Amino acid sequence: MQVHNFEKVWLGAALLLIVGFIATISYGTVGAGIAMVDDSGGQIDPQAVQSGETGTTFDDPGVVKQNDSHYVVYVVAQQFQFVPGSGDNPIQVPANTLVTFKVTSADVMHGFAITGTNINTMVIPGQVAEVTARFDETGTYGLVCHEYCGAGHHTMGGSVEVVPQSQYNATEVTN
Amino acid sequence: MALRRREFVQTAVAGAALGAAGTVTAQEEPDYGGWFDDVSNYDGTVDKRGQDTVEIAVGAQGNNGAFAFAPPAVMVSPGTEVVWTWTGEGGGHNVVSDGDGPLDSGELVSEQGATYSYTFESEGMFKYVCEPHVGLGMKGAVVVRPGGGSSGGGTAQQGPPANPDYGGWFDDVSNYDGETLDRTGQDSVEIAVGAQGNNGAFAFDPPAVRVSPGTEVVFTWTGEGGGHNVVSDGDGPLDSGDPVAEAGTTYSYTFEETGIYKYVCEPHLSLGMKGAVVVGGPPGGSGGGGGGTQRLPVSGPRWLLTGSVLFAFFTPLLYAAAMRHRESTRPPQDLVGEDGTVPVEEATAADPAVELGHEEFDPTGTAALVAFYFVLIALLWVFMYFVEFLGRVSVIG
Amino acid sequence: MVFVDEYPKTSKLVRSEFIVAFVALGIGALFGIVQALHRTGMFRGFVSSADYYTLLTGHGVLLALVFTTFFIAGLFAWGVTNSLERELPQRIAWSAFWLMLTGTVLAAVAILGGVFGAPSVFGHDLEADVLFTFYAPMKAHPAFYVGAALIIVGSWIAGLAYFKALWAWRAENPGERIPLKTFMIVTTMLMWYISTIGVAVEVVVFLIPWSLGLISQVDPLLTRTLFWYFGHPVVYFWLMPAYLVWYTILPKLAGGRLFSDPLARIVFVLFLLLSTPVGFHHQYVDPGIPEGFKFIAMTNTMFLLLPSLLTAFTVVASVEHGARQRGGEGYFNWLRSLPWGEPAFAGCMLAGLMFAAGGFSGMINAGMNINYLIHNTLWVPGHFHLTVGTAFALTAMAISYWLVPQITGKKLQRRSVAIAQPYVWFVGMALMSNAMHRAGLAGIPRRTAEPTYDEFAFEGLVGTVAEMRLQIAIGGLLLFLGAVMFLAVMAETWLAHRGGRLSVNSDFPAPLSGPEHSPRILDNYKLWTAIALVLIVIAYGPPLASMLADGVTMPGSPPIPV
Repeated sequence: MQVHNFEKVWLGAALLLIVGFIATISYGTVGAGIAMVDDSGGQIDPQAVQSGETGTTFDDPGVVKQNDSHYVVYVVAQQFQFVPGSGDNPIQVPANTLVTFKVTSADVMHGFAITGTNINTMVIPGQVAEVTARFDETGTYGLVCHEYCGAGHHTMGGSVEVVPQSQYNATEVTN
Repeated sequence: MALRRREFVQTAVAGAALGAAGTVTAQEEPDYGGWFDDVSNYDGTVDKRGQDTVEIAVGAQGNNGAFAFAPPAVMVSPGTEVVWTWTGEGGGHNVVSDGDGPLDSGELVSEQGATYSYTFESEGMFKYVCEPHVGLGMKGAVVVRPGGGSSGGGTAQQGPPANPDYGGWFDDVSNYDGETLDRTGQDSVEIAVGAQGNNGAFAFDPPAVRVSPGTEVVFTWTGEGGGHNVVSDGDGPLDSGDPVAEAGTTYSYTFEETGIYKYVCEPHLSLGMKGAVVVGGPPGGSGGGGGGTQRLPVSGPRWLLTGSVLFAFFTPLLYAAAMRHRESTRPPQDLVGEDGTVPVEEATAADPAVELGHEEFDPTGTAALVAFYFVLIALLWVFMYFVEFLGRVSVIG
Repeated sequence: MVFVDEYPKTSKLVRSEFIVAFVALGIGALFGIVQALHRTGMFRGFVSSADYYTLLTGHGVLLALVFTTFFIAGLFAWGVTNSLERELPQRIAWSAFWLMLTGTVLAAVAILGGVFGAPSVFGHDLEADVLFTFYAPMKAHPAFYVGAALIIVGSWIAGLAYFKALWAWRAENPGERIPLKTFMIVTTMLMWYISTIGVAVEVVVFLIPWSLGLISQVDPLLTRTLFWYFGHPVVYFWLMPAYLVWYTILPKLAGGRLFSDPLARIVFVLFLLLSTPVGFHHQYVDPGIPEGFKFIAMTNTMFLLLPSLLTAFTVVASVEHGARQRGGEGYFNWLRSLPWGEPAFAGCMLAGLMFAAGGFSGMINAGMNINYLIHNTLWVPGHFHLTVGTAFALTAMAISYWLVPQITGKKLQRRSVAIAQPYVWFVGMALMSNAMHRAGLAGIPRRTAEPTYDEFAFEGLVGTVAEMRLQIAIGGLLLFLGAVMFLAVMAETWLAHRGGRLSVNSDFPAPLSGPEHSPRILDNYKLWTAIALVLIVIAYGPPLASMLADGVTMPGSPPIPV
């Protein structure tokens, strides 16, 4: 089999590119510490989420204080709102603190993305999506359902308010 | 159009027959010249003619807070004393005429129960504002005009007419058929939440119902269509709280005041999950039994229907044009063979200007192009990964 | 001799496949322009925002499934017949056609029921607003799933016709190398058989019984995983026919010869090996799937870049060979010697150029953690409108200008419209796609009728949101115009009189480096299929086992109507 020299060089360059990509992504995981959404959130019965009988915090979703430096936000996505998150019920979290979002669905597939950040996960009935992040900047971020979930999908949005740690409203927290 | 016109006349007649119903009729509505465009609680002019004293709340709910006059627009008879009463909410307010005018309550007052009054003798329109909150839309107007409400005074509030004007409220509600169900004279009336409609279990049933004042309306959840709630549109008394999905859940409210109460299910509002309760009014009140509005039922989007009709109309024309063009492509007679068909042949293959064999060809141009591509995507990758991606708040666990 | 005279039976088959494909293209394009105007807010008078999703489903199914599958069936029928020099087995080929057509009609009726008020048919609402991916637990009318299954089964039977033709040819030509076109087609079909098993199991075992009420619930993560087992290879099922055109026809249109037959075969074998064990890269941000499996899918995906990067070199070198034979000189000046006024050539080249751009956004999609940046944003449709929407669709349209005269015996009509059409498509796609990519970076989601929210507003990183909307709307209009121009040329050609001298020619010059230089092992399908299956077991075995271990339909969801 004869292969032109130029093509051999290009084959090498292509392999270099591929290895370079894989190396960058590995750096993102190991060096920058970026974790993928995985099975750590566990499973849940979607029909129990719908009826509010899971026996977990998803029955009364909201922010739970784990300790001074870690808050957990339980969010139920349902046609066509985030509870909490949508309308005049924004998710409030403190800045410069570990925040874990645990999101699950009460009905069909949804998406959960916070605009301007890399927080972006599918919400699949039966699975709990678990993502942890730390917001350095205060302000209001948009919340988007990015997977088609029915005829009113385009209305399913919300907001996340990141407030300074000192001003964080403790009454929001249930424990 | 004939139907719409009749409906309009009927409404007007019913309004006149009832005397001083809530707001002035469409013909009498003054032209405020955009004065109320940014006033959230403005919903027509309240007719208070025939009363000696009329009260207006200062610091009522509206304009995103307690920054409103209520009612913002009133119509009174000459000689009426108008009393502004402070609610104590929304900080310091005052009442000052817009431009030159008689009203001036002076310094800002925030105390609950404070009042300021003025007696209007001459006819005209008197616009006023609360100076600190005018930017938020805290504006009002008093219109002084003779006539109206002599018969029943302020007490003859008999409720909305037979065919209430919902102002397009039900345009996107699939299970509203133009009828307001009559349930007057009953103590308790039930409305299903999550009934079939609006492409799923996203409807109230009945969507529009008329009840007598003092009736308890019970909303009952069917358990279908996910979580629903019942919340008034704009300012209003209904609020069942967070959406719930469980079958058999109920929420009830007793309507005392006449009027039209519009409400929605917040999560499914965009699908048309809306309803209205009409309190008071017919039957018996006005003679408005006949001729409701029957809209022509159009199933499916209208453009599909229109498009199909147009397409059907133009198809013969298109066909004729195609046939005409086809004639122009007929090959010359001398090519037609004995069996009536014309032989087909391919274009001749073009010979290359230069014949380049395997040994003589080095793809230098290709090498240059792919080298350029390599550099481009490597740079774009670095930019996307290290600037766009790692520059944002990331998932770290 | 012209193809239509030499193989009249297969010509009729190809014509039938193309007619269905072109009708689907027309309707799909109409839905496309309605969506482009609706979602950008330019004009929302066609449908309500709730019905937008019916059109979106129709757009996806008609273009990505019906147009592609029928066009490919026609192209492959031509390719096998042309390169093996024999008619296809007609009974098998035609039963495949009718089966696929029945499936298409069933699915289309189910989808369009949605805009006609979803009447109840056989006890189920006739609607299928579930989009191209039909994720459970959102439920469509059973006819939709049955239709999808029939299209897939029909394509399997079509493949059988190619295999039978190959076996008959081999019996007559023992020891000869399989001709390149047939080699590519058979490799593509093997990949297709392996990958469609996923969607077939999803639909037949789970969704059809579930939609009929025979089983009460399905596991949404499992059915979604089975979909994406098929969902990525399907994009190679679209792409490999385009590669077939670029490798075997484009060099000749440029006036040159294929640079290397052996590399073309290697590329197709790599696709057979690597197309399927990569589906998890569509599920990088899915909960319930451990990160390790995502990493395996990511490395496989990255190595899947290799055949495409090799193709870029081989195809461009073949075209350059044509330019040099036409007297082209210099590092870049040779590009000017190419026949840019030839619609088939120009269309294929512009499609390839757009694919180079789409390739880059695909690398971002493939990049596991960087997928967070763009997952389910408008970036993704921006990407696949460059790949399936241009690399495949524009190549298909362009090669129709060359192929349809040969299967009808009719001269191409409105040649001036045909010459302009690829450029209109290119400009339209350039406007629409660049804006979609940038909108994706701003976080604007895909698959939505109104990408604006009460709670917040999007801000563009590069350019403003209003400018992106305008570009998407104008681009969409140009693309619709491009589709109409193509269909008008096809309709007039089809209606013209048969006979006379065509403007195309079907001679294929021999490759510069021919099959005699390819190792024989490349033609050993059994070996490559076995390796492909092993790679799939490695990538999919453990995750599927764990999804099944917690109960086949657990955690489960009942059907939820849309």
